[in-house]
Amino acid sequence: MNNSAAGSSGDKNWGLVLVVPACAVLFILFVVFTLATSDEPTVAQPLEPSWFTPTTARGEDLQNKVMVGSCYLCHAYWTGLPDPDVVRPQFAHSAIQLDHGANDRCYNCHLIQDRNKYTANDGSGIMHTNVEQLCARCHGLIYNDWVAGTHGVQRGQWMTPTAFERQNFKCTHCHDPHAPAFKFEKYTPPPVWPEQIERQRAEAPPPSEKTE
Amino acid sequence: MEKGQKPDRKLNRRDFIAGMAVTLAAAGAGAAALSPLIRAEEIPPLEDVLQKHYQRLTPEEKKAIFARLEKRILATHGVQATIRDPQPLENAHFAYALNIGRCIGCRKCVYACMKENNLSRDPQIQYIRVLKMKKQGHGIDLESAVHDYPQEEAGDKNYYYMPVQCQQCENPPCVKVCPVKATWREEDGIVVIDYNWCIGCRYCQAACPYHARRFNFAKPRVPGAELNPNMGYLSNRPRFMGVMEKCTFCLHRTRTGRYPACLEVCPTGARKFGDMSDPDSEIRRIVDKERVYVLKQDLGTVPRFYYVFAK
Amino acid sequence: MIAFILHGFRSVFQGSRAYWVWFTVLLALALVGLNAYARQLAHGLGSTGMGDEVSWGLYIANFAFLVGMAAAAVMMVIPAYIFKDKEMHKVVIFSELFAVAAMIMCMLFIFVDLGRPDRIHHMVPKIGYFNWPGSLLTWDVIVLNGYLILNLYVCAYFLYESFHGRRPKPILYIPVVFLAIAWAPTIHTVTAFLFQGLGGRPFWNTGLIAPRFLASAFAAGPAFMILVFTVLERLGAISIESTVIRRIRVIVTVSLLINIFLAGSELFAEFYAESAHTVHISHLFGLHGISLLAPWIWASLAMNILAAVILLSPARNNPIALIVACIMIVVGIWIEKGLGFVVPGFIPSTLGDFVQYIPSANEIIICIGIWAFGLLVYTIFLKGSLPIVNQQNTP
Repeated sequence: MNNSAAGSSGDKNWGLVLVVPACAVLFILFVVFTLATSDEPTVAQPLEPSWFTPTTARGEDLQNKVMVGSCYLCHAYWTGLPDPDVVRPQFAHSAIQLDHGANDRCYNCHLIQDRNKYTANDGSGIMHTNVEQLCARCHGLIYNDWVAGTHGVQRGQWMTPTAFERQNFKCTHCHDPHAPAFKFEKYTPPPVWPEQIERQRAEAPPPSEKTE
Repeated sequence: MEKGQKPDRKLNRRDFIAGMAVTLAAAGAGAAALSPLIRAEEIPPLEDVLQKHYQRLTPEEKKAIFARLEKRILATHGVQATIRDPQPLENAHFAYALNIGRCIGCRKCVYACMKENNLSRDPQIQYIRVLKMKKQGHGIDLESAVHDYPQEEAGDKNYYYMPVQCQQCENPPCVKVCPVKATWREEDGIVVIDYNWCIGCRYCQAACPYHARRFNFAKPRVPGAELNPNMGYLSNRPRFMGVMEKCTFCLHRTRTGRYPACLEVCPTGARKFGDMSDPDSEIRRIVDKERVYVLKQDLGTVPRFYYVFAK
Repeated sequence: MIAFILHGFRSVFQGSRAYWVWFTVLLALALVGLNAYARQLAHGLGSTGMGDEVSWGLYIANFAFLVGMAAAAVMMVIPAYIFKDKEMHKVVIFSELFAVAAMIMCMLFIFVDLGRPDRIHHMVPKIGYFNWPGSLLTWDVIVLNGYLILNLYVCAYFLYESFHGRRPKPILYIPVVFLAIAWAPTIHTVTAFLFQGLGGRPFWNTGLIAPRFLASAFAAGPAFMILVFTVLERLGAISIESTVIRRIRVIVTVSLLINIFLAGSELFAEFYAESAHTVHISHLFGLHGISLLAPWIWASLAMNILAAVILLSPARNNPIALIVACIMIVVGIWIEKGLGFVVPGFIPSTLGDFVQYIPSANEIIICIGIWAFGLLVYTIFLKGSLPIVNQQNTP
């Protein structure tokens, strides 16, 4: 259609007929759509404090300790030598489950003469505040690591670590001396992805089967 | 249009009016199309748009910016925060070691990091991803790793748990590709981002071999009650929508001598952090004495994050 | 000068009903796309299907495809200017105009992909902090803008002189044409380097990407131009000799064969070695876990091979078969670049997480909007330039 010679007069101006109404309809649609959608602000869920609060593995157990330091309540009056064949702890200690590998005698660690202390190699006593000295009798390499700071939990300052600025934890903060295998149960939930993200559990096909 | 048609040089009034009407109609509809912007979740103030790159700011300008940001945080979160800008320690060279033999996959580091660094709770952003891999399978094989094992499956002796976060590479690919130098490596080895400079092209995310970078696909949301008020300008201050962020080894803590949050919370002591230039440091002892490896060594990124296999 | 612009204005706003229907549809789609973009701007890129794992999606895929289309325009220019093909000379301006439109679309696709478009000025040297020559993205900014300017200049100068009935002075535009010829492969090469330079993404980190990009672009671009010329001729807007179509067809055929060969070479290396990095490509083809991409890549492969068969068989002389082949090439290569190249580079993630990518409706609307806008721009260019070109060709 060649209307350039005659000008556009007489012909319908399709530009006006089509574009202007289309734009008007879109205009209304856009405005209505924007006004109709209201987004409710989502409230961010707070984190559970136990997920991020530092705790040692036996933190709570240690707070409930009743025995340590008060052994004299019973043992001041009864210091008789025990039967070396008894493996199961008795009386007040019957709740203790001893699971310390080959180390299955109470008096390997506890000093017979003074129940408030632990046994050192030379038969003298170790104060319970120095419990690491006891563990070091067998676990010397780990003790060395612990002294150097590469074994165990630390908090505080990495720089200029003096005794006051660094919180160091002893063996028993994390390991139950009667069952020293590391135990920790306070696990936290997995990450979540936005709803629109489609994920698959990747474990399904091991790489060796991928060419099937 | 036909072949041989001569171009017309004149424009009559009627055509002109019709053309203008079409143009105006299109412009009007175009303006209406922009109407969702009235609900924009984040409108950058002019002073933010005009702000210069971090490395080009004078100390006075920085002070003014920090004050402005603190005021804004007070308004949005109701928390009086302190924004600091600790500089790299002289001759320090930070490094991290993680003992895979000890990690039990409890993921407390993940949440301590979220808390410390004010990471968005919804949508959730986490810097640390803990991978679970079967010991007698392919060993450290990423493609068979599980990223979202439920919490009951943690602590299993048949699996390795390998947390991965920013490896603070010596030769970081993310820094190389950034078109606007919004991310760079500091003197002490920490790769940082200027959240006010990033344009959000996500090229660094494509370049990172460790999936360490996180993008704010929506406005980050942190409840004011949980906001950590001890903030660093280059680390844990609140982020913007549409910018990249990543682990900075908690530089607002570590540059003042403290341990990173993920290390402090770790119940197993699998995480060790320190200054490699100090021959007596824990980290130096581990790298000297233990069998360490780095992730994807063949890429030449030279990570400062060592994985250790030790009891 | 004013007369030139007025003429453009007049010829754009005058047309048949078919023209205006086409115009209105494109305009409406572009506006709907703009609306969708405003929504994305208001609520962030979370309104797309992208995430931290698949952090680039349809936008970058379309960008990579369109850079190729723009670069391929040069394949039409080479016969015209270097081999002095008279017939080709007549239509070459249309492919240059398409290069301009494609370039505009490319930049829009990059723009909508940005998380902070309000900080785009950080890319401007001096005002911002331009990481050149370190970042390949800055190279891309330079070559894309340069290519746009070169093509705009050639088109504008050529049309302006023709409008005034003068012969364009070769000295004023031929050097620029040759510069544009040299420039065209660089835009696609730099775009390929953008991907293949990333050591952390083994799927992209192969030296074959740039040649593959060029080969696929030189197949898809001219194939698209064949479609455009056929439509224009049907509409009676231009008349072209069949030799032109035949010449373009040769370009398409050769490029397509090279593209298939390069892709096959890559597949062999990946699958025979069975290294740890094969997981991307085996996932892409649906051989490792559930893959949403597999149907697409198989379809793309089938389309490319079928098109090659048509182009090599005598059926190529049948216009309908040729059109079908061209459509298959354009669609096939679009899939190959996007769902077959950009997206699988992210699946699995660098930590081995298989996160799929499903573009959101809003994202798709934005893509359609940009395509509609680009085609609208191209339509307007064609509408304005056709009378001028036809006038010159009929002395």
